[in-house]
Amino acid sequence: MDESGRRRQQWRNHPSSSASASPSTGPTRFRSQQYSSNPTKTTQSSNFVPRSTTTTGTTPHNTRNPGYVPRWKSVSNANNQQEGETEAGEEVGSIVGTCPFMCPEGERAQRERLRDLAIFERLNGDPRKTSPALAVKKVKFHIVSHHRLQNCGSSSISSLQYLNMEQLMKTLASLYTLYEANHSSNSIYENEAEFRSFHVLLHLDSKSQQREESLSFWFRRVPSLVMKSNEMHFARQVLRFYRMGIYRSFLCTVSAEASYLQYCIIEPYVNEVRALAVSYINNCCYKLHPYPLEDLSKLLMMKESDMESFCHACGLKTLSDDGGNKLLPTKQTTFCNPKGSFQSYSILGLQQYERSIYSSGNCRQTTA
Amino acid sequence: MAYPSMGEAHRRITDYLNKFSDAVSDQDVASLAQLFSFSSNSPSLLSLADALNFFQDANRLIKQSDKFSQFGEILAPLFRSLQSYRLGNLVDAYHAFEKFANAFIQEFRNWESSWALQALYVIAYEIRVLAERADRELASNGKSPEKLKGAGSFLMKVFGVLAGKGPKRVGALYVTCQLFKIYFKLGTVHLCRSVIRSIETARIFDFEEFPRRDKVTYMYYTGRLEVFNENFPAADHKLSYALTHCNPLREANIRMILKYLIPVKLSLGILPNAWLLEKYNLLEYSNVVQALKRGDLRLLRHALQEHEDRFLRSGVYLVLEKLELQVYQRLVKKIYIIQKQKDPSKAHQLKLEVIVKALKWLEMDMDLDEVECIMTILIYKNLVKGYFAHKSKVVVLSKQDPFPKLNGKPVNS
Repeated sequence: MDESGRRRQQWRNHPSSSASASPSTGPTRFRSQQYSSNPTKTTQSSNFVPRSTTTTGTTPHNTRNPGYVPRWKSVSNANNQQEGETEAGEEVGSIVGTCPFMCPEGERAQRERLRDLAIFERLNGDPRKTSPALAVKKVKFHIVSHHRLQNCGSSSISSLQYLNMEQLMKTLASLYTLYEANHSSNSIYENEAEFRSFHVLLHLDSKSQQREESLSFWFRRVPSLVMKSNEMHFARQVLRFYRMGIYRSFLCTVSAEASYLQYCIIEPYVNEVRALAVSYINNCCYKLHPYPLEDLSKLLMMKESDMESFCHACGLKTLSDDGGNKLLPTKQTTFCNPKGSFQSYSILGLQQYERSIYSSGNCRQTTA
Repeated sequence: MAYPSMGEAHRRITDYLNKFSDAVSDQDVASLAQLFSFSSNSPSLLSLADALNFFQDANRLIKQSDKFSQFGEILAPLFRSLQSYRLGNLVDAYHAFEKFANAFIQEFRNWESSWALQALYVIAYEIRVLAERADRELASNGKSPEKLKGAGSFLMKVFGVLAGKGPKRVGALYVTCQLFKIYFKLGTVHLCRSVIRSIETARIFDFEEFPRRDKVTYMYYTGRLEVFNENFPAADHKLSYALTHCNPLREANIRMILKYLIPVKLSLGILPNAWLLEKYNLLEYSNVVQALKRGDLRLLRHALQEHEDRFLRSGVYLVLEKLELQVYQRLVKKIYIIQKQKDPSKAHQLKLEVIVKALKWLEMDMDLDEVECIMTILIYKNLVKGYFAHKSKVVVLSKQDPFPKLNGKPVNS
């Protein structure tokens, strides 16, 4: 695993390159009211700026122009392939953001001085020079990568997924240490609540606790002010709904309140929760009243056209009545959890997140 | 501080040296242990410290006689530590104490019998407490606190020394408990796993052989770990063991055990009496218990909010949150009972809208879909026996035992 070892070294866990040091970036919250048909022009808060992928790190001419919007195409380039990029030959389409700077100027200058620039951040390969277009925000990058990797179903991705997750955890942990070391008694950092919420959302599944610190234990370290923040309140609600299997509230809450980055983390759980709901309904509902798929799709916040294939993916048959309405007969014995990375179904109310991710991609997904 | 005269200082130091070597040669562990129990702040230790700080050349006295010099490696750092301790330099005190402790362990290894175990316990305790104080000093000077972590490494070494076939092995549980306290304080509880594995699976250890006090402490901490991991049957077993074997006069300890045992029991459907909560001052659970008895979801939420900081700090918040399903069960059961009184023939049919109304009275605004969701969960997890008719929006209860009790088992997941 030489190459991944080398790649790993390219990421140094430099705490100041995390979100806490950024007065210039706005909140990552993405409100559905702001959404318009062309996300690239109006999504100010989508702060992800993809890196240039050329080997020499040359930047396009007009990086200093605030209106500049870099586009990211995946280029197969063995020398410069970084963690989070897909393997050669996989086209995933472009992510487009509108904020010109991923890394605030002051931090960029400091890292240039200290020669703390990852290889792909270097201008013309010079370890002492970077540019606004190249310096990255590690945490946000890892979260979006995590999401993208989930949705590219290639099996060769799994080692990348693992490494990316490892880096994400490390970056978050050092961010939290920074927060904890620098707290004054009555204030918290601007983004701290959201970034703390990521930890909760990354640990929804209690099975992972056997290997790591349990969430109950982790909560003890979080300042009371942060625990009471909207973002943490959201994450804790999602946690409660997930762990108790309260599927309806889970889906409604996520749809209504998740920020873009939060959604990147939550998305893999959405279908899991839907499958759980289908299994509960199949188990508990009256056999003589097959469940209309129209109602089920509204309940599970899916498009009706997707509902049928979802049921089939769960090993359940559907049928049509005389009026052509589709129904799910209950008390079937063939339910199984859909295996592997199955088709990504959009969640009604959050399609704008998916559209901005999948704008012209070939990734297996449904478009509006 | 009254300084002793040179002669007086000389006398105190020589006295101590004699006590030390006599204790070793007589295998008098009680006397020996007192000699380095810093945290006791005993007058004799403090006056010795003054003497050392004044005399300044205790090493010469140690080397004066073979009786003392054979323990030179142990005594010299011990004196240095005591001097720093007296002057309030806790980081220095810790460093020297660790050196003393290491030297002591080397000697301890050579003593075949387990006569000195009590002294070892004192060292294990003192090194932990001293490390905590040293870390506080470091933190207050803006430096990174790592002495407690170092104390943990030292104690792992001690554990290794004790983990053998001889009689010293009964000391391993005490050291384990000190390690637990360190790991819990540092938040590195995953490190508990390796010691637990050694204690529970190594063939040299027989749990019943360990002193009772240590077994109680061990079960308390391992029980708490089970609570964090939400293994309720295992947590119940361990914490109950701790409770039944704990000295009944140690009310503070009983309270600590109950603080974790009560949420576990609640999760298994077992409610404590009000007098228990009062006797041990655990009234933060009163409203939780009431909410379960009444099916009052609003009260549960209120109780969690009121004591949120406390529950989060002790780590039981997520456990208490999950009691919601049992509260819903109780609420639905009450509706059923009322309906039965009005019209027994129709009681087993619960309209969703009636449940929605009941929740509205509790100021919980939930729509039909959300209530339907809750009901399917209750049915799936066997808190309610019956089925749900989606078309008519009615829950049809089983005629027999529609609300099964948990009876000491956790809610099905």
